[in-house]
Amino acid sequence: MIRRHVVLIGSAGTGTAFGAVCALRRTWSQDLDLIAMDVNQRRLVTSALLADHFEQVPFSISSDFPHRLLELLTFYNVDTYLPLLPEEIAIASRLREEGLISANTTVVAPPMNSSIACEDKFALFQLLGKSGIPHPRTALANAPFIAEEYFIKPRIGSGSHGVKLVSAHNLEEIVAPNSNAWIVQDQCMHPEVTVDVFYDPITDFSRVICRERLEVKAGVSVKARLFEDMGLQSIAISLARTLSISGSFCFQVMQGSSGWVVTDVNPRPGAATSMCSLTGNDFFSATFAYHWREDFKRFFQPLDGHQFITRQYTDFFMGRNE
Amino acid sequence: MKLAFDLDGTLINCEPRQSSVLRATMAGYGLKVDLKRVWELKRDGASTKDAIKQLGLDQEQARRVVEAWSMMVETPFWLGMDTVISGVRESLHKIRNAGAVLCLITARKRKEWVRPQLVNLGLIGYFDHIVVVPQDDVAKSKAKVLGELTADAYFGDTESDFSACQISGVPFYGLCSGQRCREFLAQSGASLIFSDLSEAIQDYNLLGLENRSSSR
Repeated sequence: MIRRHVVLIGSAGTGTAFGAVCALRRTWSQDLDLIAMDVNQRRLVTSALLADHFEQVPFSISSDFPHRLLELLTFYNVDTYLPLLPEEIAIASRLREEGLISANTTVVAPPMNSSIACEDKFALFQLLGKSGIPHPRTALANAPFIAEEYFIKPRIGSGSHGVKLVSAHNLEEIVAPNSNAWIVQDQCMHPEVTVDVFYDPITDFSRVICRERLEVKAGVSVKARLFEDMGLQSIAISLARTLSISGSFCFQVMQGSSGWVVTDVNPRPGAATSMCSLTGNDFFSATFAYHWREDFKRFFQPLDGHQFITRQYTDFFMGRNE
Repeated sequence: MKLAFDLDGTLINCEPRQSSVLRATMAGYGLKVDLKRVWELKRDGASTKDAIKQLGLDQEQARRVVEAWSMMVETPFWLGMDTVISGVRESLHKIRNAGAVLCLITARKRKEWVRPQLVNLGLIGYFDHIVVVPQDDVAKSKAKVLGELTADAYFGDTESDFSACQISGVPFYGLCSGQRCREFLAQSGASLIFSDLSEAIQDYNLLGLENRSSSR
């Protein structure tokens, strides 16, 4: 008898979680149990509409979170857990490596050192440097390289929050009082491209689709040009091997002085990865299929030239006040 | 040779969409039913409303849920949950290569989203004619189109597809890959019933209907 999968989706209120939940229902429909968890109440989490159960949990940075997570994994007998925010991914991989999450539960996250690197941008860019993966010159804001302008980013953060261009003159004032919590980078040139990647380290199978971010709202593409690029494919595979990622993830590139440079890495698909599914490339379903030892290649199709995808908001009725 | 096809349940799997919209609609009202059971009841011939009533919703709850469900189920977001049934692309490719003219006849409330969905699913290129009929009196509307197109066969998955064929005199190829099960289609009077399109197409060729239909 085929086992009915029990899937826990973390950070369920995010766009990425919604993409994952939609893919799960599209592909496996009602043949799995889906638990959504988020810091918000159910009525504010769209993914909850498609889930069998919903759990409100503490923030993943809270000291209560690991205990609550372990409780839920046991209570629902979860066999697959998808953490999504960087700190949640880091905690999940730590708990897995400490043996606190049962070996029967697949945690869809890279190993602990890679997860921590993806959470801490300074560690990430140091790792990329060691692996020969092109990236902009990077330093901590308390020890910047010499330049007239810097692109600054919070060392720990996601979704382009806090990212801005500042002059060298203003740097100290902007990053004070905790300059160690910021990184500075060389300014890069447009276009900005998100690269969606699926990688299977066992067979070395990969699928790479590039999304030029033609318009971005709240850090997520709403108009995109999809294309394939051999150079970016090669960077994608190097990244997957460096970070030991299997399944799907995404990264951003921009133009540096001598070509593409990696400006961010997410060890999971992005909120706009689902744009690719309209071209017959379903990275979310492929990832679950990979972990469940099902045929994942069926979720990929050749891309017919350059394709344009736009995104519009959809309204969902979440219920009324009881 | 001119072959006509229904869309939902014949070429695409619309169960995940129908069930997910029902789940989302009911969640909005704080209601829950066994969705696998709903689909089984629908395959056995029940309407969505009858199915959820059988599973415990009262008349008023069922009315509200189905009203909201109907408004949502054909909107672009939810249409994104449909997938092409395994083997359909290969079958359409094969019969198109054999020189057949392919027609799509489907009943949808939201006519405007049929073509975009076919584009997204990579199916639009297979069809020479695409006709969307209204959802009221589906059988008569489809029968009229089948007659006008002089179709040689219609592949569909519901009793209304069968009725359309009865009215128009076009041979019906019933597929139990969609909304209705084999037993229900048989009870409705259909005699040629197949698991899916691939099987039906194989049989179509084996029966030599190509030759018969070309002499119609």
